[in-house]
Amino acid sequence: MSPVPIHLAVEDDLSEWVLRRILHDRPVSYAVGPVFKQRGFGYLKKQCSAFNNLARACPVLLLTDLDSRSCAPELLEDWLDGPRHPDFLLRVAVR
Amino acid sequence: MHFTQLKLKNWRNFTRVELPFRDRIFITGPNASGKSNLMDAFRFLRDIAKTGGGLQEAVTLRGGLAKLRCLAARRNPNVEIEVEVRDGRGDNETLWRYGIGLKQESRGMRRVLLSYEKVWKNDILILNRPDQADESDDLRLTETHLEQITANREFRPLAEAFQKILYLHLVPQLLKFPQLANRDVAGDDPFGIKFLDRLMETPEKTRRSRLRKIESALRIAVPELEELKDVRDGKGAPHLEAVYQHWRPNAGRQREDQFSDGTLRLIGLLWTLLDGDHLLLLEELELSLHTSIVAKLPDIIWRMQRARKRQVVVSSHSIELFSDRGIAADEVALLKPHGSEGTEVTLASDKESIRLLLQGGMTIAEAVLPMTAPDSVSQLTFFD
Repeated sequence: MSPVPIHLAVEDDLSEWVLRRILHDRPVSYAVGPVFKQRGFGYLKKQCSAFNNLARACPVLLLTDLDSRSCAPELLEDWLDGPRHPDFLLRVAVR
Repeated sequence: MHFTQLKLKNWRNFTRVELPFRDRIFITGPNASGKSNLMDAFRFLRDIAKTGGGLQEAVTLRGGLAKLRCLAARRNPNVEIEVEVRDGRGDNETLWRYGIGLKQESRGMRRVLLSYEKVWKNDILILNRPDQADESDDLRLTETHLEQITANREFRPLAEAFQKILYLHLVPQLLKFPQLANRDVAGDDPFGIKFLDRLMETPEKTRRSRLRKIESALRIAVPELEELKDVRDGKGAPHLEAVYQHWRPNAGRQREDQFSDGTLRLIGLLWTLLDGDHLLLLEELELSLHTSIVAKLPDIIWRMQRARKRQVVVSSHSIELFSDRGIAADEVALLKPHGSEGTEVTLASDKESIRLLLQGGMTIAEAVLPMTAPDSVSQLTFFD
C-alpha cells in the first residue's frame, strides 16, 4: 500500500519528532509532507482555520499542549471557529 | 515585450516545465532546487542572440550540452527551450513563439547541433528548421538563425528582446571596489562592476530624475538620508554621494565606497528597475538587506516597474519578501526537487493545498515556504 500523505503542524522541533515517531510506530506507512512550524502555540492557534481548510485536500496532524488551560475540549472550542474537518487531527498533550 | 510562457524539456534540473509568466514572477524553492537554472534558460537565449554571442558559445560557456541536459532525463534526449513573447497590446499585439531543440552527435566530433529551430508569429510558423538547406549541409545546424542578422530579419524584434534580457546579482564589494574584478571579462556585468560607469553615461537630465526617484525610495530604508547625487572626483571618475543628517554641517557626506552593502545593493536595484524596459532577472534579492526593507521590496519593485512596464523575475526564499499581501498566488513559481527525478515547477495558484491555506487566511509566505522545505520522509529512517 502506498504511504498516506500527511501534513504536520507543530510548535517546535521536539514536537515534530514526537509526531514523526508516533507515525513511524503506526502499522500504516505515512509520507510526511510540509511541516508547518513556528515557535510557540500562538502561530498554531492563529492558523488553525487554515489547517482545517487544508485538511480538505490532505490530512493534517497538529500537536500542541494545554499550556495554562484546564482541559483539552476547552482549547479545541476556543481554537476552532467552525466545525472541524474529520481529517484535521488536532491533538493536545495533557498534564 | 513581455514573456508570457516558458517551456523547458530536459533543461538542467528540469525534465519538463510549462510556466505561464505574469508581469512579475517570484521563484522560490530549497537550495540547489534550480532557481538560478530556471532563470538561466532566459540567459541562454540572450547569450545566443547577443552581439558576438551564438549557440556554440552559449553552450560552451555552460560546460557543454552534457552539463545542460537534465540528469533525470532517460537516455540522451534533446534539450528544448520554448518561450512565448507578447509585443504590444490590443489591436497592435503580436504574439511570438520561439523554440529550439539541441542534441549532440553520438560519435565523431560530437558537435552540438540544432534538432530544430522554430519561430511562430501570431501562431503562423515562419521558420521551420531543419529545412532543405540544413539537410544538405549539416554544419548549418551548429548555428541558430536567431544569432544571424542575415537570417533573423523576419523575427528581429524577438532577437532584440532576447538580447536585452538583463540578469542582475549585484555584489556590493564589486560596486565599491571595481578594480577587484576583471572588467574585460565582466561582459553583461551582472555583478555591477560597471554600474557607476553606466550611471554616469546616462544623459544628465534622465540621471538626475532617476536619482531623485531612488532618493525618495531609499529614504524608506535609510531615513537619515537627505540627498543622493552624482559627482566626479579630481580625475573625472564617477562617484555617488549621499548626504546624511548630521549635527556638524558637511560632516554627513559619504561616497559609494563608504555606503553600507545594503544601501549600495538597493541603489543598484532601483537604478536597474528604472533603466530599460526589457525582462529583468533578479537573483537572491534579499542579500545584504535588513528584513524590514526586504518586506517592502515587492511594493517598491511594483511602483518602479509600473512606470517602465518592466517585467521582473525574482528568486528568493525570504519569508519577509513573500509576506507582502500584494503578491498573488499566480505570481509565485514553486520549485520542488524530487531527488533523481529532477525538480517540479508549479505556480502556487495551481496547488490545491496552497489555495486552501490562503483561503484559510495565511499569507503567501506562510502557505508557500513550508512547501519548499526538502522532503523529510527519509528522516523517518533515523529511528530504524
